[in-house]
Amino acid sequence: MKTNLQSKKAIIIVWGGLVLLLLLIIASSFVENSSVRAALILTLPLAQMLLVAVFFMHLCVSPKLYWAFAAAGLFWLTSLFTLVACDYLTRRWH
Amino acid sequence: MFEEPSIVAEQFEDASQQAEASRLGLWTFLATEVLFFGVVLLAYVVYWHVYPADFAAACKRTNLVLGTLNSVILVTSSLTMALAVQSDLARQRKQVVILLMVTILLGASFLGVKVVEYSEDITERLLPGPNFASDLPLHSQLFFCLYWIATALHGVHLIIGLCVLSVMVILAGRGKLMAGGRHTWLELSGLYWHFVDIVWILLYPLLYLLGRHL
Repeated sequence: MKTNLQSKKAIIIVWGGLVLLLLLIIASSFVENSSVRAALILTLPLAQMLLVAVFFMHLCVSPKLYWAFAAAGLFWLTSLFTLVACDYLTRRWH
Repeated sequence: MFEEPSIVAEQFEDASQQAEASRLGLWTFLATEVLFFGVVLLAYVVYWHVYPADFAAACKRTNLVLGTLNSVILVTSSLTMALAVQSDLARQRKQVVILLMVTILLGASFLGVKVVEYSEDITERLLPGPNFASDLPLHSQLFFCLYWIATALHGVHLIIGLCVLSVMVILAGRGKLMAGGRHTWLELSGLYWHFVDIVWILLYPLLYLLGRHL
């Protein structure tokens, strides 16, 4: 990993982005359409998580191997959700 | 004249190789933590799918103002943590100590707000059990089971983070973080702290917003 990470200005800009996204998440609760509302409430936090991981956790200046380690957790989580969804979403009584 | 003992363990060739191994080790630990919180999230998603109306009714009873306040507090603590790591690289010892102390203060504030919220929840009989609020649908108890488990687990992680940061403040104050390549210790503490922030970023919309139409 490079020893010179982001500048302090960049870190503050990322924080501003996180607060802005938080406001957008709250604002999305006012959306009338329930499907759109749920989609916004669930996807905007993913953008926040990405900002924290990429900038605050230094993935942007890390070798690709770190990305692989970070992706491993997400891969396991996706497998867990996919396999369980295969069961619950295909039950006839639902 | 005494020399500072080397912090490089014998299995590593040099400090940079040790730092690399430490970072990858922490990322591996964080991947296991993803699964740890993942099962709670999975239970939440499954039960939301099975009992959507009950979960929506329960979600409306959580305190949105305090939850939002805690989100701002924790995101800001991530800012000060990231700045502390950067200041350590720039060898600004005094700034590192101040920023770490602010981070600890923000983390403690988060816990303080959470305690206020918990006491409100208990007063409103939102603790699952025989005295659970009778005006809520039956399966709302499931929502609040997951709410208490998820927030308590997150709180425990935050307390561990506060303990780690307290040690870092002491080391930084004594000038020991900048000596002998110990910067990695602060960097690893930062990674853990940001992960705790990420968990809250995910919990906040699920527990406070998903079932709410403002």
